[in-house]
Amino acid sequence: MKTTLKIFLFLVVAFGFSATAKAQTATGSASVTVLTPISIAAGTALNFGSIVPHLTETGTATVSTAGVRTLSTYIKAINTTGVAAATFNVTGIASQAYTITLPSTDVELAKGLDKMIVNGFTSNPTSGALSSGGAQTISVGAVLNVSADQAPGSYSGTYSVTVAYQ
Amino acid sequence: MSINGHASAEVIQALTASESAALNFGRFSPEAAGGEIRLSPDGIRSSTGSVSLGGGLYNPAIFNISGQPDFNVVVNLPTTPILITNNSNGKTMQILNWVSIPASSSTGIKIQSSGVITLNVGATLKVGNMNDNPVGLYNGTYAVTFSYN
Repeated sequence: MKTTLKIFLFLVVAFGFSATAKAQTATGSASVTVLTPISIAAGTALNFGSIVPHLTETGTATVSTAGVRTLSTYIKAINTTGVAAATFNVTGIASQAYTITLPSTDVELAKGLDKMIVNGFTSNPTSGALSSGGAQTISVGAVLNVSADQAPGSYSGTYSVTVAYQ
Repeated sequence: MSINGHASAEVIQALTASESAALNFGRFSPEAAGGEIRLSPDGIRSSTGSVSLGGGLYNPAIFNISGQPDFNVVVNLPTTPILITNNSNGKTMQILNWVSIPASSSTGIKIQSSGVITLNVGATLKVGNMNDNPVGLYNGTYAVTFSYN
């Protein structure tokens, strides 16, 4: 009687193993790292300030990345009010290098049908490196081309700046 | 990632100026000792010494300056005497003490909403005696400069 009981117990145990085998699952491990995407936001807008054109000669006004304006021979100015380099705030992965792409073709500033060309874009830095906090501010300057007897008024336009991880 | 930056510039109307009336001291006679003729910017003529004023036309210079409204224009009149010459004998007279209405200052003259400044210019003519300044027509040129302040 005592033996019979033991067998019975064994059978129960065996049955239990069998049931366990049918539903067996293995736990593997998988992982993915989500990187912070690079992002760029506009800060200060590029502003050439106010300039006086020449009646018969063309000229240029250049704003450096430091926000300093220089005028060619025939262009005059009354003040430097408003003159500013553009700034852009870039954020992304800490200490990551990235490229900065500025317009390589002419950009138009317009006042109705009157136009002025902006080109010669420069940036500081020329290629980016995010800080340990994952941020960097870049400055952009450019050259404004002024026609002879350029029509008076306020001109504006937009241009594109692209950043990408290296 | 790309973003559009904005760029802007303001173009101010270039200054232009034209002379609509030439400075004219009119007719006079120096008489024995000569003296001075003062022609004010608003067209009032007076004399000193033995100078006898004659009839006929006389007028201050008038310049029309066009520019950007609300901006200031600095006017620079001659600061040294200007010579006018009698073409038939080469004798000269000096014009000095140039003054304008509106008066010029270091801050300049504000351009009104019309975009125009009418500037009257007067001066003083120094006249010698009959030997120094015999009868005839004397003329010359002078420079007035205008610039935005």
